[in-house]
Amino acid sequence: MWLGVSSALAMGAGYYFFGWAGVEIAFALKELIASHTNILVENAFISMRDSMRDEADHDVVSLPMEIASGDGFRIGYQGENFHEPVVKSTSYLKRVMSDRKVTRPSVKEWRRMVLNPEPDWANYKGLWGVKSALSDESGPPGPKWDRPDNLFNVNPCVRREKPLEWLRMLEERQ
Amino acid sequence: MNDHDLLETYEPVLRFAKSERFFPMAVEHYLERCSILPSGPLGAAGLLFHLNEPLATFIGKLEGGQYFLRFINEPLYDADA
Repeated sequence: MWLGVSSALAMGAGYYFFGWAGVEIAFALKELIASHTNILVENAFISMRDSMRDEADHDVVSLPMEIASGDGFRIGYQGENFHEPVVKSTSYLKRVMSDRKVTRPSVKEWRRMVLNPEPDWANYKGLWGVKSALSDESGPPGPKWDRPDNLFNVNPCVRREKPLEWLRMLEERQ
Repeated sequence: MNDHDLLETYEPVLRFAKSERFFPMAVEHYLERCSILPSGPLGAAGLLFHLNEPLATFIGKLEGGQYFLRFINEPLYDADA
């Protein structure tokens, strides 16, 4: 999260000022209109989930259930969300692997941290996850990734690198 | 407006699908549980200079990008899929 928080300073202003939030809100409003959802009910955003299921990838996707415009205005369910229904993957492998033991961070609370001066790890140039021979399955490159060579290059995962483009792809399939 | 105020005003709000298996966490805690592995010959050579050092102390000093991090203890390899 600290990496994410740092991006608030590095990129956040850019996203919001140049329309990233606007695009996201436009997506959400389009869905709200299409599904005739009453945004005042608790499960307004949950009910959209089934219609956004990505069968090819066996993942369940939905728009962010909380939308922030960057100026303090937020809509969406902001309470305790552990009672939301969970949709299991139809893929046996993914269903089994999802049930494996997981390691959780010892610190649950998120806190804001300004990365100034820049910590040592910020200069790491490798992948922040496992490298896979499968396309779209390698861990994400960090902000200092500078590997133009083809031999060791990784294919960016569209779902992670360009989430809005991925949502558009899902919509087009439907 | 100072840096913290700026960060608070424009902080990203992240929400995830129920199927999401990877979530943001503190980098330091992530690195404590990670192993670093080379993805090329230069990476293998680079790691030889940092044997027995905590990952967080040298990860930013590594030259090039022939490295990757492994967080989970029992990873799903390509062959498993």
